[in-house]
Amino acid sequence: MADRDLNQYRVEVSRSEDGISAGVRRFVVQLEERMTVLDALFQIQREHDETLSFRCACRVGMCGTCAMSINGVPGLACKTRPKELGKGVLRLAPLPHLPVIRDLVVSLDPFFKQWKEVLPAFRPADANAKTPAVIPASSEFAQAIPRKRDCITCGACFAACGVKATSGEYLGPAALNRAFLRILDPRDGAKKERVERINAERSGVWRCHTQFNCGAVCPKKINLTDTITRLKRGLLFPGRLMR
Amino acid sequence: MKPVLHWYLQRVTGALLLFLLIAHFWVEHFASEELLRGGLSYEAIRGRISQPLWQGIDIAFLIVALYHGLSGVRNIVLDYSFIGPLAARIVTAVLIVVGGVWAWWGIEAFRNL
Ligand code: SF4
Ligand code: FES
Repeated sequence: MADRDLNQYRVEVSRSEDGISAGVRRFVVQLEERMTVLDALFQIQREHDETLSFRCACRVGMCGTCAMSINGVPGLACKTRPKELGKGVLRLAPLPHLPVIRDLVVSLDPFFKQWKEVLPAFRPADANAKTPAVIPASSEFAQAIPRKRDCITCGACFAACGVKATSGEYLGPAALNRAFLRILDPRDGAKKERVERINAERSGVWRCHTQFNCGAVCPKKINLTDTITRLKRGLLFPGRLMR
Repeated sequence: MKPVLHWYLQRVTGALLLFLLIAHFWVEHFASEELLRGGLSYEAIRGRISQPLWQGIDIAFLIVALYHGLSGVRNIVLDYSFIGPLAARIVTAVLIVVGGVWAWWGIEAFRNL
């Protein structure tokens, strides 16, 4: 222990059970420089309070299950280092705009309900094709989208969106990004339906007010506002989705 | 009207407003000869806005500002889930009436110069 450089943090965790707030509990943890918020939570669970609830799976920023509000900003607990936040205090709370199950665990049902709205699965234009539909790496589609494909459905963008705070219907940035990828795919057979859904006035792209919160918190650095703006432009000038 | 047109007109009127607002403030408060001479009066303003060109510019300013502002209010209203489809339609109708009355009121002012 003595040869390790430890930093002390005060962690304030919003607790709740069955949707009823149980206030904020404070803990003190000792973390090494490279340790993450998730490490702090495990330390609390091990040493202070084994009833503390939070979610995680991959611990390397791949699965999206550990998203929570960290000092007021949605992010992944396993990718956020307290050291980089620069303060001795960590305020942890469940993701906003989603129903809380317990402590830091939220239900992502509203997020996935909107995700399903845009028909996220690939629907081939030619369902009876004998050969696989290939997207050449040099094609405009393949070149335009690499980063936009990286979504891990963590819900951080959904929680950061100011419009989601008031609108249950709004599809949200991640679902719209998914729709964008599908609509852009030259093999897609359900363009018309998807376009209808993203074009709906109360739930589609028109609810986005270009606040940029979504892209700012996305752990995969997807420029979601750019996606939504391209969709709007594509609806105004069909054929200009890529530019 | 299609939502895409609302969105497009909101942008177009926003860009026009930027130009018209600056022009308005400049002409009203900084570039008026009478004002510079310290003698800005109702007569001086009436003299300017009696000219068809200025009437055209001011009426365009009025319509552009009304569309931009009221469409913006509607956009905010549509962000709230508790406002159902019927309430949203009523709000839209009220805003159209408000816009129409305000536009008529402003244009009428020029006829009574
Ligand atoms: S777009 Fe980014 S922030 Fe939103 S769900 Fe996907 S990975 Fe998370
Ligand atoms: S635990 Fe998988 S992304 Fe954090």
